[in-house]
Amino acid sequence: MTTTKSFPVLALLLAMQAGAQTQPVAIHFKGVVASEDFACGHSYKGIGTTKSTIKPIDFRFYIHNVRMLDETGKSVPMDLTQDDKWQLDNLALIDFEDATGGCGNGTPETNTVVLGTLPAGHRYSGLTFTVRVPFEKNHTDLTTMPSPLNMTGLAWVWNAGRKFMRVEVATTGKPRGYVLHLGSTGCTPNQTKITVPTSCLNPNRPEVSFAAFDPQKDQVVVDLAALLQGTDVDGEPGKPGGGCMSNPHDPDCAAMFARLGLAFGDAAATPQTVFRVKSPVTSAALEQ
Amino acid sequence: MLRRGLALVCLLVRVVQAHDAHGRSYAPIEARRLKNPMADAAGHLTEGQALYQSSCAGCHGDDGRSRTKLAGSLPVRPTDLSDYMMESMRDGEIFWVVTHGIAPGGMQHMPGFEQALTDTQRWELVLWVRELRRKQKAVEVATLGPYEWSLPPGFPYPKVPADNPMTHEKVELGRYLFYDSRLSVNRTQSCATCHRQEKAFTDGRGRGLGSTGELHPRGPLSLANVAYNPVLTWANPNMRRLEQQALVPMFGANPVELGMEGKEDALIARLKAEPRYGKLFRAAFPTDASPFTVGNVTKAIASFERTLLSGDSPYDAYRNGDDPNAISESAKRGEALFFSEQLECFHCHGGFNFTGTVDYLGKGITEVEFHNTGLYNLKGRFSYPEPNLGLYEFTQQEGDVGKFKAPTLRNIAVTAPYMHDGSVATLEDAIAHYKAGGRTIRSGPLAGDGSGNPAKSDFVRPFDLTRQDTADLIAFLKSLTDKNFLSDQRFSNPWQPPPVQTRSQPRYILHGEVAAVFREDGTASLYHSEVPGLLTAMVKPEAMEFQVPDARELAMLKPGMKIVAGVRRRGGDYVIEQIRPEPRRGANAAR
Repeated sequence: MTTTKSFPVLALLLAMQAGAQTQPVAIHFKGVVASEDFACGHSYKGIGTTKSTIKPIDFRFYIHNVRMLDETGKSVPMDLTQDDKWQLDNLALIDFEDATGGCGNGTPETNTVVLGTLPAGHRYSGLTFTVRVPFEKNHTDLTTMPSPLNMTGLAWVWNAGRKFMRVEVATTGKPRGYVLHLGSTGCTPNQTKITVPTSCLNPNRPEVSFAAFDPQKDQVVVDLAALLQGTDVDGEPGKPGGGCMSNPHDPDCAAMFARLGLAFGDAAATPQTVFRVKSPVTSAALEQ
Repeated sequence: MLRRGLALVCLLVRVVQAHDAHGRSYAPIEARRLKNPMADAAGHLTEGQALYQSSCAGCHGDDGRSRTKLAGSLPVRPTDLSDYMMESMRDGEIFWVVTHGIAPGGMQHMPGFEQALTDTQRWELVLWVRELRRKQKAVEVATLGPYEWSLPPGFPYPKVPADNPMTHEKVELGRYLFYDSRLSVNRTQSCATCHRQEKAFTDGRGRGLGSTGELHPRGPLSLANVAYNPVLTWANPNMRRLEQQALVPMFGANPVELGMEGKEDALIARLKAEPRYGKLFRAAFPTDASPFTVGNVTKAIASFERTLLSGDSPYDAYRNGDDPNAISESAKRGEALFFSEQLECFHCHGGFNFTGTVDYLGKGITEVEFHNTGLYNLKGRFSYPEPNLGLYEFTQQEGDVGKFKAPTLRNIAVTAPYMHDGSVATLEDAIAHYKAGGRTIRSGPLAGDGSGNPAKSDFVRPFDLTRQDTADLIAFLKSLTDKNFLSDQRFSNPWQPPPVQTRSQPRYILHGEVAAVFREDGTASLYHSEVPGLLTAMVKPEAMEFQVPDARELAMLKPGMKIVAGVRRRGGDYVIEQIRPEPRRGANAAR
């Protein structure tokens, strides 16, 4: 209510406006299934512990707080371009499905690149980001939020937030779909849909980091086969549905969480294996 | 504070309430009465803009939409100053917030500028804040047309096709056409025959019946909030515009609905012969030399349909914070079940319109979904009975057999029977269907175990539900009925004279005290006790502003007066009517 409270805000404003030389950065993502490119309508063999054949249904995820390391080793946040669609503040939605083939309930638009800027005059290598929607944005009302936070397809239970990652595949044993819906669980209070949670027991936010990453040459490869490697995607015969919706007691989640670098049950977190760096030969390949 | 702010605010911050038009705000009554002493003289406005850039734009952005980096990093995004809700804030309220800020120490803290800026400068800021809304409104009018929307609280603007901007004249013409049985070959049916307002614009039949007696394979969908549907009808991914859809019942032959195939000229002649239409068509299409065309008929009907907005159910009052007691405890338990991972109703019936298929202005990414819910599993070529093969009809993909759109669940209690062919009679039956994970039909030509349908959505899985759970779920679904929408005169048949204005008992009664009267605006601010089911109490110093449409009643009001009145919501505002002084306790009837 007094000006003393407004000074820090003004100071921050001034600091941000000073010295604003930037360089554009584009981080490319590519969906793959082992050695093949991900595409709706294609089949992929040899997936999971039963070597099942899968067909995509959905493959989307949010990433937050994209940062790169400069030459002094300092972690610098990337300023994302605000586009009223895929990128909001420092959150972006990556969308590999295109609503064709078996992906009918997805969206025709895809998004495989994160666009923004970094301060100029530095060399950057190393990339980090988290697969999540940050807490204060996560538990917000779907309707009143700007894109990409207003997707009913990526909303979860009302106040438990968004699905950070939505992967769905039709498998030999589960032709209607085997899913991964990743999100925070154990959020309290959770009694009514009016009260916003103040904390979540299991945040479930995979962190991804690469020591060496050159945006001009490298892309982040997201491997569905690696995600499902330790999972029986055919599931129990006769048991309806299959997959993991982040229930901390669901054994289907164990292997997928481990691959994402998340702790699960008694198992401590191990390094993630779903995201890796690939260096295509030419920059034209980067654009694909 | 504003509605959008409310949706984001943790209820820890008790004071920030105001979610509706002239609602509760931080500003005390005396502050709200203040008018801006600066005229809109160019000098003041320019100064206001400069002050805004240096003091406000960091958080609120150059355009007022608060999309700056700083705004995005705050726990609660600052208010969008270009939003339509700003129109309901008084100059004095904006001035007060600029002066004193909001929630010091709270999550939503905004600093006050009482010390940093003079009164004059703060009033100049108010001028520029108004200008931000004016600019955005000009963009909205350019995009949507000049029609003044009456959006339910929390609803976004619908999308409007660029070649059919919304005007009040088109809406009015569309309403006449919607209820006009001249649009059917034998003059027995209009759109309203199958889309009846009291049933949220369905017909209670399950399968439509055409004007020549032909039975439609599917039932008419509710038109409530049809403006937010990116695809229309049960399973047509290509039917994207209301203007386009209107042609189907009018001119379709398989089945015959209104039956005007090949009779466009006759239709136009009929319309021209009706005296009222000359003026209506010319007003709706003033630049057309000959406005009587089929295209204009569909444009007008579509415009009327876009106004059919329903967002005023008891559940909305509860969710918006208007009244935490607006729905029963049973319905609150039902809500928890609806949004649980156990039942997963929200996966297909989520969002403000209780459907995953939704689009609106500024949405960014349109969403369209079709789902097979395991209603049938026939042996033979197709697992669903022809002709209702769903999305398969258009995609010819085996996996799309039996996939249909999940319609809105708003007003679901009045739109029985259910599913695309009306084959589920009651809400109890619908819940039992999902509880079983699909429907088993034991004998007859439709026999089969729907839960085994190969195209069934993975979200339709069996679950446990006690009798009490079912009752709770139904209580929740019933709380989605918007009675105002079902009887709103603006959507009713204009060909019939409106019902005689009887002094009928209003549904909600308000007891309050007048805090201030704003005669030139036709409103009054009141302190008042709780109106169960509609409004929480407003205790001094908090007051709420109501519209007073009756001029004589408005003239009677004075600050300090205790009154009792009928109260109702109308769009984003509240209206009080049938106002009389609160009778004194113990007073005899005769005085």
